[in-house]
Amino acid sequence: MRKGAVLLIVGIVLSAVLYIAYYCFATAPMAGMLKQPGGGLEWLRREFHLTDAQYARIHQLHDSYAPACARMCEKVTRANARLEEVIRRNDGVTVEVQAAMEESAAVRRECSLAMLAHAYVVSAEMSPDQGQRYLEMIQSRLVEPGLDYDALVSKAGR
Amino acid sequence: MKPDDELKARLRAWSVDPQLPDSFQRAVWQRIAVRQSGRKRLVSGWLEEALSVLLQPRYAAAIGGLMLATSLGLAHLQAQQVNSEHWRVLEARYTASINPEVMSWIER
Repeated sequence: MRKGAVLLIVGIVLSAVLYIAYYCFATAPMAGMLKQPGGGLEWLRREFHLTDAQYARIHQLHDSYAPACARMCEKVTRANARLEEVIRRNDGVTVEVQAAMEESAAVRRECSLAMLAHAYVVSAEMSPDQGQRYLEMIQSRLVEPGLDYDALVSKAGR
Repeated sequence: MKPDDELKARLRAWSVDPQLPDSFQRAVWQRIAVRQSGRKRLVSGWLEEALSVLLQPRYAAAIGGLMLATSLGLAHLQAQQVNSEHWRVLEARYTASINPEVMSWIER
């Protein structure tokens, strides 16, 4: 009976240790990716099975696209701020509101086109089937942008 | 003296003095104690019996093994769930990094 009790206690302790160890071991790589600044690109490498050479070229393309992307981000922010201000100032769909809305839409269209152009260049660096899959993903984000951005904001801590 | 007055006087004079046997209270408490201890014996006896079976080395080893397998399975499921959530966040992070519109929305 005493031997049995010892066996049972050892079982309980080992189970708890095994649970913690397995959980930490299995989630550590992904948690590491999430913490590092280039986690998004690392995700791209794994999701689309990029070779080192492909990854290097795509990383370069990403870096050269980043400044243009940041400039467009500023343009979108300015256009949206102007649209908000104009909507607040007017009490109907005036010519001014229409102009601000058209400007905002034009900037958004410009952004989508730039993103699509970048996606074509990036997909060309991948193997044909992975490139196709990548383009399908970007296309779905452009057409149906219902991605979990709330989770992104909360995880990134802004 | 009217009959009513007579009845009232008799009722006033009447008193009851019940005499319980000395052992009455003791016997009641004894009966309660016997019943309770019987119930306790039933539960503790069942527990002891179950424990004596479960703590036999072969059963204890089997239970320990089952617990190990369960904890491993649970850890695997939980890790999978957390990893898929992290994967989704990383995908969103990449897509946002090439989409100026989303970047502007995040920076607001």
